[in-house]
Amino acid sequence: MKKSKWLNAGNFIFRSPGEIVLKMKLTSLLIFAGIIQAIALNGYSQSTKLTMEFRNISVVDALRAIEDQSEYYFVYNKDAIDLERKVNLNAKDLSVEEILKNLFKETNVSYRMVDRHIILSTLQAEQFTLKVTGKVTDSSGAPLPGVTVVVKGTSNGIITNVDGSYLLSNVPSDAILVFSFVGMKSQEIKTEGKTLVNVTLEEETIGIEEVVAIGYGVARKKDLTGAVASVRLEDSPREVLPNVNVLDALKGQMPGFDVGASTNAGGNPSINIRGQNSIKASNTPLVVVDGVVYVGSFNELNPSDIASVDVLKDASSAAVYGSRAANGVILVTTKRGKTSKPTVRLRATGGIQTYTNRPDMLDPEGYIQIKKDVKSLNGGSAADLELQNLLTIYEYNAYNAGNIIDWFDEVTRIAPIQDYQLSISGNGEKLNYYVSGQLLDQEGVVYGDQFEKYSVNSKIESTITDWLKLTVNLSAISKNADGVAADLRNATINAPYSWKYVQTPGFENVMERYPQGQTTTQNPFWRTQQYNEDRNQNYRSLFSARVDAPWVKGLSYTFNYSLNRWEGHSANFYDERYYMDTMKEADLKDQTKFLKDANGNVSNSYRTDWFLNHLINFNRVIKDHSIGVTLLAERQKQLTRSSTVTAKDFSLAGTTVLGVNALEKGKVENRGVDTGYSQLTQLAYMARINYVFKQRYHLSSSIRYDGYSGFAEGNKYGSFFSVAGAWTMSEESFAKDNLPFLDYLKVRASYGENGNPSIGQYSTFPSIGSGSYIFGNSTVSTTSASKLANKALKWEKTGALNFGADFSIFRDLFSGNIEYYNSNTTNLLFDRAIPIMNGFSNVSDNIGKVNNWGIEFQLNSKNIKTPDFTWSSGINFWMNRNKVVSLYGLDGNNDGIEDDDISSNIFIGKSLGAIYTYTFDGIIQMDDAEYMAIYGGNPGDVRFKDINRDGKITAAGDRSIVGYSKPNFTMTLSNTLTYRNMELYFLFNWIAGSGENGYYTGDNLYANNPSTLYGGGVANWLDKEYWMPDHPSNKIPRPNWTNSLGYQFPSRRDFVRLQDVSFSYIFPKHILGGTPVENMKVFLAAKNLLTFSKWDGYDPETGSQHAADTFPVMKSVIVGVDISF
Amino acid sequence: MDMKKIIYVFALSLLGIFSCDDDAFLRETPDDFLTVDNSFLNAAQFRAGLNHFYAIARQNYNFRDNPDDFFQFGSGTDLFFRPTGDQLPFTDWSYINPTTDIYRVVFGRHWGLLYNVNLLLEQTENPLVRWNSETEKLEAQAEARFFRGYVYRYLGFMFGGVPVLEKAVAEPSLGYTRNTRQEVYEFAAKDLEFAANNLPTSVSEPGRVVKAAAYHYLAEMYIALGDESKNKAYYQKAIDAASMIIDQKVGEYHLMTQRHGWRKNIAGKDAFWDLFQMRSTSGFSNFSYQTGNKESIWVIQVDKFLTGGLNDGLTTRTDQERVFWPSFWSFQKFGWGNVARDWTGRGIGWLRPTNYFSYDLWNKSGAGDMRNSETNINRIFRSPDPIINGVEVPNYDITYTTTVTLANGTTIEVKTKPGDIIKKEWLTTRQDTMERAFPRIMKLGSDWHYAQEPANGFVMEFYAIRMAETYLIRAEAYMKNGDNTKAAADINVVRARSSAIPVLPAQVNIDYILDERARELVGEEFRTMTLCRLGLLYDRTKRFGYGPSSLTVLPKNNLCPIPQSVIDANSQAVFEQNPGW
Repeated sequence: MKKSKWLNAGNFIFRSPGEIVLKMKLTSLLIFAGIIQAIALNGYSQSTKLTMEFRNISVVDALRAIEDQSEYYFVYNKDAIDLERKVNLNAKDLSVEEILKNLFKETNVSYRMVDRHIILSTLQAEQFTLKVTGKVTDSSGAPLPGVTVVVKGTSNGIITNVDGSYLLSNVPSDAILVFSFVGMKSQEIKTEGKTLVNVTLEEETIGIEEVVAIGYGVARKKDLTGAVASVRLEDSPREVLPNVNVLDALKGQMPGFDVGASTNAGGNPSINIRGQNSIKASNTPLVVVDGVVYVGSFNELNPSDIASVDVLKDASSAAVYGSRAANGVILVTTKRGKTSKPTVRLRATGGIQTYTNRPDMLDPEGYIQIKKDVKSLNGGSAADLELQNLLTIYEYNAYNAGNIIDWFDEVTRIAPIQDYQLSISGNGEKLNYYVSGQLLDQEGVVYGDQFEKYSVNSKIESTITDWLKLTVNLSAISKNADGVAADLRNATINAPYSWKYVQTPGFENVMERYPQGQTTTQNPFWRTQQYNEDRNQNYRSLFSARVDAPWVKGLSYTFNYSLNRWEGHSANFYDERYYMDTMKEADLKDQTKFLKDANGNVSNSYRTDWFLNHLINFNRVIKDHSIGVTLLAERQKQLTRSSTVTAKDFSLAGTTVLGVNALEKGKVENRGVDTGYSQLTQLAYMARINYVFKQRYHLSSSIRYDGYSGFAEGNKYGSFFSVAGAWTMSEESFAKDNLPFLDYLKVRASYGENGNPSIGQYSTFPSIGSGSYIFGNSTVSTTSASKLANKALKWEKTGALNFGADFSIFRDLFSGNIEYYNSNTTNLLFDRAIPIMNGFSNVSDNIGKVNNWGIEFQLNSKNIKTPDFTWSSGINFWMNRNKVVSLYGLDGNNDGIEDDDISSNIFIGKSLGAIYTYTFDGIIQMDDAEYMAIYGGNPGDVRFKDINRDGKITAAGDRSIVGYSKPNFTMTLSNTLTYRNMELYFLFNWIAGSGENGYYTGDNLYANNPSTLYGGGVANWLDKEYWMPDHPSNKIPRPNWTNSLGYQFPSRRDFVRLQDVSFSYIFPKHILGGTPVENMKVFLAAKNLLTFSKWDGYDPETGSQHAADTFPVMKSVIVGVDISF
Repeated sequence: MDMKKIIYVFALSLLGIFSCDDDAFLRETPDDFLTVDNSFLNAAQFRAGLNHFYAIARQNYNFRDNPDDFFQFGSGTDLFFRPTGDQLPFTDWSYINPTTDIYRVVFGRHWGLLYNVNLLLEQTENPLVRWNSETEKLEAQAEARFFRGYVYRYLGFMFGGVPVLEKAVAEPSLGYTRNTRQEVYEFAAKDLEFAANNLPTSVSEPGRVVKAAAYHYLAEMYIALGDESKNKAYYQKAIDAASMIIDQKVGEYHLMTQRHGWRKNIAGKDAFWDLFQMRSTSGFSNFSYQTGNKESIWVIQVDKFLTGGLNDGLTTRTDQERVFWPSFWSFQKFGWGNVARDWTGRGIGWLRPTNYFSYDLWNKSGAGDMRNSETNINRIFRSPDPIINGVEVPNYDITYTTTVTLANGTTIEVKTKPGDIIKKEWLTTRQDTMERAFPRIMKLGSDWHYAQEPANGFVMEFYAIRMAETYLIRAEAYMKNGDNTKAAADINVVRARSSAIPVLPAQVNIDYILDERARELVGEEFRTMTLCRLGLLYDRTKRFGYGPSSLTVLPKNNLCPIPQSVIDANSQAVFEQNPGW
């Protein structure tokens, strides 16, 4: 053991460079910084002189005063030292040692300085003592050298050696060991007579000391060269928000990372990092959980199991993931055990959810009026307008009976949500474990929408020997989203005069299928009667072994193997009742004739993924040089098998009572089988080197070589590289001397290339599809080409430049970062539009170039910090500009400018998401005779601008770009306020639109055209004024207008939303005293409480229109309790 | 210690990692689907490829549940219009433009079909194919070329000149230009000639094309060529082609003049009525040549219960009844209560016959025409039997009371019993006359339904080619060839079956032929296509169309517009739009 070398050390560190080889790259950097600081402090204690004057204050206040004026803090046993003793302190330019000598004269208190700690202890009789040994590691399992280990309340301490191990003598059997290290949270552990105490230190999460995941390893944020955004969820105020999905928890937290809104129970919001690179290929980032590429759905991750999430935004950081990283990489790190004592934590929340916005429909009188208006515009006679002719029999009866239904209210509900989480974790001598279970039961806002999840997750890390460490993660997740939700479209448009249940005597308990007595509008609940199963189970495992080569210092080998099994089960059954027409008494009485139509299906699919990699790490520090090398070989395979059986016509069986469990009762000729099989393989090799000189100059570079089975021979491989550098300017003496307010400043520059596999497996084959036809009474099969194949398909490549700066000023009062990026994506996979004469209207190709640039800005401030009250804020701002640089490179009209692809809605030099349409110019009024003479049409029609002034409104001449679906910019503002044991957190989210370019515009046909979805003719419409001869609107056309050009009424959808609010109360220890409970927190939290927008639809963020058969965005409020013991 | 050692360890580990065979690991083989390479290697596989063409052709008859999709039966022309408002597409032609979606749909459908035809034709020459005989190969090629002729017939008639493609596209082009309409016709004629020569005369599978089908289209195509090229010789070729069928050289074809089929014993009906009876529950089809309907040349196959019996996406019914029949069942008066009955069907009146069809057409050709009898065009609506406990009860004594506001504004109480005629003067709302009570063309629906289910219990086959049309085609050719006597004789064969008074040679002109086609083939032929072929859509609509259609139709409507999406996508050459659009 080399402990003595470390203990005796002062200047030992540079004495024998060849032997001082540090273990992991992270560790190397940490210890390097730590030791330098320790050395600096020795000088500090001599040179620092304090001046203070206090009269009659307690010892504890005196110590606090010293802590405030210096970088020291005190470690002591409060039972041993009389803290309340009143003292006078009168110091003028005295060193800390002198002050302390003064303070504790005539007491038995002695002190000793270790690192920045000053350990106070009482001289006491030597009692029964032990030698304690152990090893200190970081959260990744790497040994931590340089950690201060002190027996609490004494001056007895030591520093861990290069292996992270320590040996401490004279430790009382009931001692408490205090482990502290810069950048890590201090930890106290009771020895309880043990002689071996292993500890894992957690990274501290404040500012730039934070340790972040960087892909195949971790790094201190200080040492990053790329743009990595991090969110720590563990112990943050966001932890208590009603985030069913981990993405909800990240929303608005990281500039450049867009997360959409959740609308249904268990739903996965959309995600996007730094704009739209791809046109057709996926824009979804790669997700890596605990080092393994994640193939599941986000809703399978339990937000409470997640410690932190790091997003690799720029191409250089993402480049270690090469071919799959073009859209950024999300690294999820799960929680680990922390204390040697097992900790049981229980979190229970319950709450309610509702919609953010509802359509404001015409009232019953309004419904009758719009029907009259439509009828009269269609040339109806006076008799047509009489109520008994105007309304259907059902409506007329409902009118006479005064039966009015608000269908939207009927199908929506204040939906309950419950979430229970239990975890047991601990950090033993050789074992770190974290085991958790979750039970989530969520109902959606729309009737019939529900989600249930059970999950068990365990993570066990064991140190077998000092060179071998094994990790096993196992988890099982079961999800259930059975049932079909009610139809919100019909719930919106159905007339108020209608019936929910059948009116025929004797059948009053049967649901009415056609509430208005006609088949166009249906009962929104009708489809909820179908039998539906939607379940899946997911079993994940990860096995990881790490070997530290015993004879080459700094070299380690890690093997990861992950095996996942996913099973999906779905089943549907429509029995004969589903097909009856409830308007017919004969059908109500007897549905057996529909046994012919009754049908069902059962589908099972299995997916097995395995993933393995070999990682070699080598880290070494030579004087001012720190070098880290990572080598990787990786393989991945996915096998999917599926089978579906269908059956129809149960008339021979005579019953469907067995339903989906006995599909064999269906008619033989109408049974169907469909089996599927596919596989996908990927492999990669990667090398990365990191180099740091004098803690100021950082360089890193990586290269990765990828293979992907989905491409045809000759195109399977691609290589991707990156290079990045950073300069910590604040470490330079000129900065230290001239900019005293500057705590930290680092500038970064990077360039990297990444790929996007862009196509799924088998995409390059000219596949032949099949179907059926009949001749006479025989079924025959048909085959036909499914697509034009293209063997030349290859990777999309994104090359991106990033400039960034991280800063902290005025002792961390303000800190943050600013980023600029500029990326070009080439070889875009695109289903390019081709004229249908080719047989298909598109063909997949890699073509063209898209540019994205953007600015991101993050500012955190600690506005107020007093012992009782703190207030901190965070502002995030990001904007992205997108441009199609080129497409096919064709210039068919020879005007010297590349041709747009109008049929695909892509325009050279313009952003993707362009809205290319006619220009709305009001409504044709009765006296617009001149317009109608030229362009045709009738009063009440939409009037369009004749842009090319050729006297016709044509698709060829009068369309132009009127806006873009992309936002102008996004901004979030969060505030955290704490007062004693209370904490309040809230976040506003603003997605800005408009600008002269019409950003954040969405089609909004329903809210602007009453005849959409039969409005006025058959169904109800919104309570808005539409054009009629006697009230000539200039915004909304007549209710029987034919939208022959398919105009979609683009509208702005920018909004401001109070997205998150949470309030928590932590019970003080003295209240909990005497109970086994160690910590207890209660909280109240809400999401999407307020939304401000001009958008007239379900929600501006999703852009969904009223009467769409989708779900509204949820607003939720929960209460919860978090207990640990 | 030393670099050497480090390098050694690195090298060793890398060796271990790189030793697997990357290429084998990444190799991809299509495991659960076929590709072009293994889909056309024997006759059975070609059969499946050919069957696809029939499935696509069926989409022309019954595809999506959308009123615009039935435009080709003549919506907005002299025969039909959409009745619920006067400012609907086709009823008002000013709402029709190159972005009207149905044009994209039908245009695209035929090019998709063409690609598969050309692909299959190419594969017939693959030396790896195991043909049983040369005939087998020729028949497969003939069937494929029949459909290529079908494609160009459709596109040429509806849209005019389009690119002529003999090969499946290997490299997609963005620079198509239009061939002339005549070139399209000539190409189609060549394919149809090959098909006529090489298709079998008869087949056991109902619905498969035979020589006669090819000759019929060939005759029509020759007429179109004659019209387009002004070369009268084509008319004689047309006459010859049609004569192959009429003279029974390619099968025993004749008009059905006697009662026939599985409902021939139902009293009060006639031979014309028998032609259009839904397939029996046991699967007997009145439409099939194979079951004795010798007038039937090509029938689009449908069946409610067989897999493949209906188009994908519309799996419950066909739409003739729904589209063409009035919704008298949804009256809320005179005893009706908005409940469709087995015998009423469940029409919703998407297309209503024009007054020209309903009245003028029959007045012009004289009384006694079987096709205009109450059996075949129902014009009288009556109060129904009551439904009691869900069952229609005949001979039940009940009186229905209905308050009616007459045209002059006075209100009366009308009392009717089951079977009483509903008088026209009581039908005073627009909805009454436009949607609920208009002449019901009986051949487009059924008086019974599977499972007595009037909505989804209706599934009826379509005649793509019926011999009555062959006579009218030949009549047109004779007329254009200057032989009105023979033209009149052919027309009179058709008229005689319906006991209509014969036409005189002097009366025969294209208007008369179009009128006769309407009387015989309404709801069967693609009226819009016939009118576009003849360039008379504008003229006939202007003279005989429903008011708003007649006021808004323009000469440009003689051809359908090229879909805007095609012009947009064809960026490397100008794909000319049709004149006036």
